Amino acid sequence: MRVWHRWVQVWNGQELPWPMALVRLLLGAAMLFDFLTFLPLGMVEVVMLPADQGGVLPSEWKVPPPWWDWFGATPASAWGLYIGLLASSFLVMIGCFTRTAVVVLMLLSAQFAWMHGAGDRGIDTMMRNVLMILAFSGAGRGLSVDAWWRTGSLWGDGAFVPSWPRRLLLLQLVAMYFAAGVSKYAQQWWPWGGYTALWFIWNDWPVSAVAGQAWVDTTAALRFSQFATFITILWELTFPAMLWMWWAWRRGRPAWVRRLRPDLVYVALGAIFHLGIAVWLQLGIFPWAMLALYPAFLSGREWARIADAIRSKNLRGVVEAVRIGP
Amino acid sequence: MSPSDAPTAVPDAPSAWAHWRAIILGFVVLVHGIRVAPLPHKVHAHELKDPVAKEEVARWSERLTSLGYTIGPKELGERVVEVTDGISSTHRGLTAPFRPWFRWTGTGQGWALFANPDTHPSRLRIDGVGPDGKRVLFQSGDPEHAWLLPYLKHRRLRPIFDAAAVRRRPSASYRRLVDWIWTRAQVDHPDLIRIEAVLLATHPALPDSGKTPRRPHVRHTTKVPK
Repeated sequence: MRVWHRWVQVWNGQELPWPMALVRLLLGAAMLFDFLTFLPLGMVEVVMLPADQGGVLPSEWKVPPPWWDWFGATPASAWGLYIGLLASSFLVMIGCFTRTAVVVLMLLSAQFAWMHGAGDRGIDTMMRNVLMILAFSGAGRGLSVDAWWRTGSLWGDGAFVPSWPRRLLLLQLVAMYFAAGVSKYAQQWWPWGGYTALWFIWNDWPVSAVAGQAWVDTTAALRFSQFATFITILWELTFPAMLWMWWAWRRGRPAWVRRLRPDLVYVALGAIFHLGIAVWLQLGIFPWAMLALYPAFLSGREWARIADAIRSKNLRGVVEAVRIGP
Repeated sequence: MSPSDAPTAVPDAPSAWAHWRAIILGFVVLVHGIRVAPLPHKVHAHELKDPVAKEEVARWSERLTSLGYTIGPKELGERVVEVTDGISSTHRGLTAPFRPWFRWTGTGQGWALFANPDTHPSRLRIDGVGPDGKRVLFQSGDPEHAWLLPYLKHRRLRPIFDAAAVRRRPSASYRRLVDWIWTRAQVDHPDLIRIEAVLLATHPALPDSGKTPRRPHVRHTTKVPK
């Protein structure tokens, strides 16, 4: 009974809406930017139509994408899907008809994934997972057009929203990073492979932004990559420790967890990890969409304190706002 | 924004809805937990013929043998195929009832980010064949041959040749991509009579290994029109 009671309490409670509002805004922006990259290249028909219509997708299907069943595999239907994706990601970003926009964006993105599975990566699945969570989160209660309609202020009135969606998102991030660590079965990630994984990834032509550059073939670059590989695997494998840190913070012991906030060290390492990916690899939206989820690592109260500190131009107050804790 | 001293919302005594919500979320976490379980994907026997996979199996065989579990690379390969087939079947069976939901919502779990870095990464080269012979139109990482670069590095097209990079033969999606490249070539290079998409396996040598990288070799060539 005690375990059940704790489980119920984990998902009970309410909090200020800012973290999920920020996630909504940033994720919507990342997705909007991603879809906008199709326009200057004329990619819409290339990646949304079968080969016999001028695209790169299969013409023969066992189970064709329902979008094509409903609207046909024509340029008009491709543009319809594309405009739907653009419009819904824009509405998610600005928080207008938020819940509807979030659900529509998830479903349209799923249709796109159905037709172009080869071009749909893990980050797309992650974004749809987060959209599903956002649909229940009250993410339109702040920093949104919906909030402006309801309260007369874009910030909203700070009315509480359920805390479980943010906790579920954090659990999703813990699961993702840990699974990514455990799945790294290649020798190059481990001591007996010399921690050379990152160096080989730098040399992987399809994904690397630095392959072929002279500095990659220096011993200094190799040593740095070995250090980064070691930190990456250690960080991913120990990421579930975040769950303990959050629990320890709430409990108040051990005291050093509140004093040192080791969870924020993990968050900072994550941000560095994704920024490194943005610089060294060509993974498109991946690092930015992942960083868009990071506001969830701070609570609504922490974000409110940060906003207060910024408004009063007290930059030291920003650090203090986080130091106090959730 | 609301004042930062807003009181923390202390959970009320759990309502009946709180219990129902906990049940629903428990179910969601369970289903996604099964999906996210970092189990090895099914390894096919033909995948073990890839040089990178062969190297990997040989190294694991050495490692296991040094730890006292003597097993040769061939036997280890067979065991891997057998065990991963069993794991994969069980995993698929457990998640089968939820597959339609995952498909329609596009949600799911699977996070093997660079689980197995390619130690012989492929480099794409596109040659144009005209009346005067062959010329390089595109080569990965070569700023002097960057025709179609914005397309080929776009995250919706790059994975197609990225996925083909470890195969011995071009996949169907890769062949469709090369067909599309040919339609673009007919517009941008009307003198061409054919293009050839070549995937070169490169062999980077670690800077402290004292070895000189071997010359790249052709993994496969796709000619359009044939």
